[in-house]
Amino acid sequence: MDVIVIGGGHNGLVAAATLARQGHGVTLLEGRGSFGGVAAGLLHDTDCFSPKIAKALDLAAHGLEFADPAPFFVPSREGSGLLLHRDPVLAAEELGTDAEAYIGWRAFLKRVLPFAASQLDSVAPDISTRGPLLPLMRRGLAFRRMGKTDIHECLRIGPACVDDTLSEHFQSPLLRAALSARALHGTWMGPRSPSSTATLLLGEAQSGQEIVGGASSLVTALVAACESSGVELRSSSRVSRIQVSQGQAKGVTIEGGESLFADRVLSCIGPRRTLLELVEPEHLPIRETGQMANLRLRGTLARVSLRLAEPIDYACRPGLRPKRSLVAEHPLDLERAFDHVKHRRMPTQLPLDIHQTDGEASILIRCATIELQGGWSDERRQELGDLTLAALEPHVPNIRGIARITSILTPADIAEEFDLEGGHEMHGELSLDQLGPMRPSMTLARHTTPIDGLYLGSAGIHPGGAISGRPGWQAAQVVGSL
Amino acid sequence: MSAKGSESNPYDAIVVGGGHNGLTAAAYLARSGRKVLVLERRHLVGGAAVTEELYPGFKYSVCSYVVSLLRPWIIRDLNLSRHGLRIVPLECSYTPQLDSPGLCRWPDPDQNRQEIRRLSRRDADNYPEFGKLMGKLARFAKPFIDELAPDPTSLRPGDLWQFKRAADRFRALGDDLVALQLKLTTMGGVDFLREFFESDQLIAPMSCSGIIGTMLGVNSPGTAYVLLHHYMGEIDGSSRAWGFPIGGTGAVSDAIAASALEFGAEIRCSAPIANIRLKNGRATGVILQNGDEIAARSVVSGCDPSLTFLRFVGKENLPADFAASLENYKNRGSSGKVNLALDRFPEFIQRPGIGPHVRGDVAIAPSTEYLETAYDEAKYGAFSRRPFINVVFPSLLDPGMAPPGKHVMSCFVQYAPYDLASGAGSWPDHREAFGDAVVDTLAEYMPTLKGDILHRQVLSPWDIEQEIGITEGNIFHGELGLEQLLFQRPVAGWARYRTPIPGLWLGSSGAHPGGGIMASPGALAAKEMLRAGAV
Repeated sequence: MDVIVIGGGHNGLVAAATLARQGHGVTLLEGRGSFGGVAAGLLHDTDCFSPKIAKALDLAAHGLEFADPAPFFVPSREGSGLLLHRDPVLAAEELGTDAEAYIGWRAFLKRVLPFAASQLDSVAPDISTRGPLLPLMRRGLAFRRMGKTDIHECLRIGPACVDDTLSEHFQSPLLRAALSARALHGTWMGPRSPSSTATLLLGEAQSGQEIVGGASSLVTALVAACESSGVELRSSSRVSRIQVSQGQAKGVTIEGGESLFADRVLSCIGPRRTLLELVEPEHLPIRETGQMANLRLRGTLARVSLRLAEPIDYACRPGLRPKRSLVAEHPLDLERAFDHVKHRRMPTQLPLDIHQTDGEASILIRCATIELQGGWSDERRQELGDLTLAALEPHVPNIRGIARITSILTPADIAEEFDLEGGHEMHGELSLDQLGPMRPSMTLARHTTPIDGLYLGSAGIHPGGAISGRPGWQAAQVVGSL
Repeated sequence: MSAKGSESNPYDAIVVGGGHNGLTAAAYLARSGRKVLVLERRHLVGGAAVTEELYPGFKYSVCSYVVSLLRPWIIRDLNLSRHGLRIVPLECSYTPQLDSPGLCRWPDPDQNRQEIRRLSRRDADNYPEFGKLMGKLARFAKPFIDELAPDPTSLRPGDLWQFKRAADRFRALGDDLVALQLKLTTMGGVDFLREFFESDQLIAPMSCSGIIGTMLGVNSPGTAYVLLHHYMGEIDGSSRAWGFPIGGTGAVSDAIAASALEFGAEIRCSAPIANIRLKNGRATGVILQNGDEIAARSVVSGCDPSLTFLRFVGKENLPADFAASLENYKNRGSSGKVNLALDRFPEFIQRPGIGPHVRGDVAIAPSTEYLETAYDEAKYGAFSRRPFINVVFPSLLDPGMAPPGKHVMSCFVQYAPYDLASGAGSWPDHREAFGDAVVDTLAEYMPTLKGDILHRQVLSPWDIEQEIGITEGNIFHGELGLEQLLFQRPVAGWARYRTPIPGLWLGSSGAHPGGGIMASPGALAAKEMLRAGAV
């Protein structure tokens, strides 16, 4: 069987390699000049990538290695900041009065997350009203096995805001800021938004070891895995149309006019663009057209890159020079930043998610709205750079002396450069109504579409996530098994 | 002390708190022949549903000001109509604007269409369609407010059966409505409404229903589901979801009290309790603040969960996990009330006259941006300088509320956070400034207002706590967030009116199905007590 995979981001690469290893003839079409999508130079967290997939695709043979994640530093103007290890015992020394609560919290996560993780590693449940009940009951029973106390706690905190949940456990604002920041990735929420605890749990359920060498090492390994399994990789081949005839996907047309035919087409770009832009409107039922029109993907991500004459050294803890750090001293700093997103304004004080490597720093800003009033312009782009240095300066007084801004990507730039609709790195906001069996909608969450032979497998589909590979992997299982 | 309530001849039940839910519980218990005593701290019954003449000739519905979901079966069971209850529907929802006529939403679909068309032709087309969908979802949701909350985590056969019935009804909605229900339950009001409408002037007032009584904004996830309340009222046969009781909301309490008395209940006002009396971990009556002890087989509380358990029972007498859950229970008073006595009617500059447009409720909610900004201020511990205000003119609906030609104006105001930012002082220092912000905001729409104010009552959430006794002044006895609803209200596993203290029951808005002048919690608690043979 021949399969065309649209989109050479990490999910497309995972799907293509998986299908090729199953023996299918696979052509992967990437619109940009290179592969990897957001994993190639935008996002830096790799601790969500599924080790199960790495093993199945034998990525180790292509140089992929996992390691325990580096600790995370949160500088403060008073005191000596917080160095947060994932491991509760290592973290305990830093946490002081919060240590015991943190150990308890991680123990709670350890009890409840395996259920969530098992859901992430399977196709979303079919909750349609004519769907079978037995699988749903089985999942319900698996949930029930957690025990009543933990279930009650999950149901209580899930819909609550992450700031409330964390405040119930922890005193330290630095710790609460660090943990809430993670919960907000890919969302249109602040730490005071109800249901942000659910996205915290979702993030925690996915995260584990990280990839040595970062996201670019992953892309290299995935491309190698595709090549070695016989995938035909084509970059600079942007699909302009999915050809459909009598309700059946037949192939694609590439910009420039070339047509390719296949038995199945798997789209690993955003579901909305796939269905509303690549498919002729008459082929899509009105229900799915409506669902996709309502999909929310308001991007809030921007990136500032720095060249560093010497490493970023925080005044509150000289010599540490952490690889990963978060500049936000209080959860309410994150909330105030989100207030500006809500009102479509430029934030005045930027929380920063910093990743530094030799001589360079990549700084992600997660509160720059693509919907900025008046739009993004060169001046606003410059302002973003200034605000970034201004946010760093209280913690790194010599920052202006050691750092030179090499690039600034606004959400609009990201949309353009990475071919992301809405500039949204997950092709759809993470929110309760756009998760699990509702991601991206009730009838599209299980990788199939109303068009026979057309499948969906990007982060816009269950289980979503950043660089996890799961949507691509599961889509490939569905495509390959039919 | 009478023979009743003595150790040898105890009451069957003592109701702590004579709010509308406490009175309802008492009426149901008395109706089944039980000896019941209601103890009310204040000099009059009603709790937050109370009418008082604080300025000669002018009657205020001091706190709650409209009724929405008062259950028809309770009205019948307790003969409330015979006891004088009369509710007139609010005819219009008017949202004024400063620079245009604003929007009136009417019961009549054609009239509505004309109004909405001025904002958006598409919205005018979608509005009735939206109503139909919401009506269907309301029909699904409505049984939940009339029965015990199904517990999805329980494996008891009865609970499983109840859960299965709910699940079957859910699936019977069909795919599109199931998806819509899931969105409605989880989304923010504005996001949800934007799937149907484009005009912000329409979305803003519609989204308000989701924030009333909560410390959340119109964009906060989980605020959309309250939209259903509006459509639940409509399928009861009344044209609007909201109604005004003749005589003010105190008249509702008075009718329930009259019913309870007729069934043989005793009501004692000015009888504040100090504690719920415990013997061997069991509630056996109450101890009044004057030291009197009154014995009863059961005690049912019409007060909020925090007051009931943390103050009247005491943390040390509660199981540790239950106490911990209660300490995490979110009360978060977020609203205040301003009542005005007026020398004449304050006409709206953009829609003058005393027409039908002011015989309903008026929402100061000019845009979603305005509403969200009001929330932002409160989030950081300050009252909104330009708040959301829901205005009703009771004297237009019941001329008895004010002397001829004069008016009373009831202003529900959000946001007024119970907890002010640290260093900002306490509510008594801010009360009048808060009142001024409300009047200043209203005066922009009603320029003659300021000169005609004869008397002004300002209630912050702190005042509501002081006067009425509700913890943090939360009008619903605790946030109506998803995590504090249904089987989790007030605490998971304790949503069926029972408490960890044998003999103590909770029948207030802090129990399922929650707040508003609904009377369901009180009635369902009483029924559950009777069924369990506790009284």
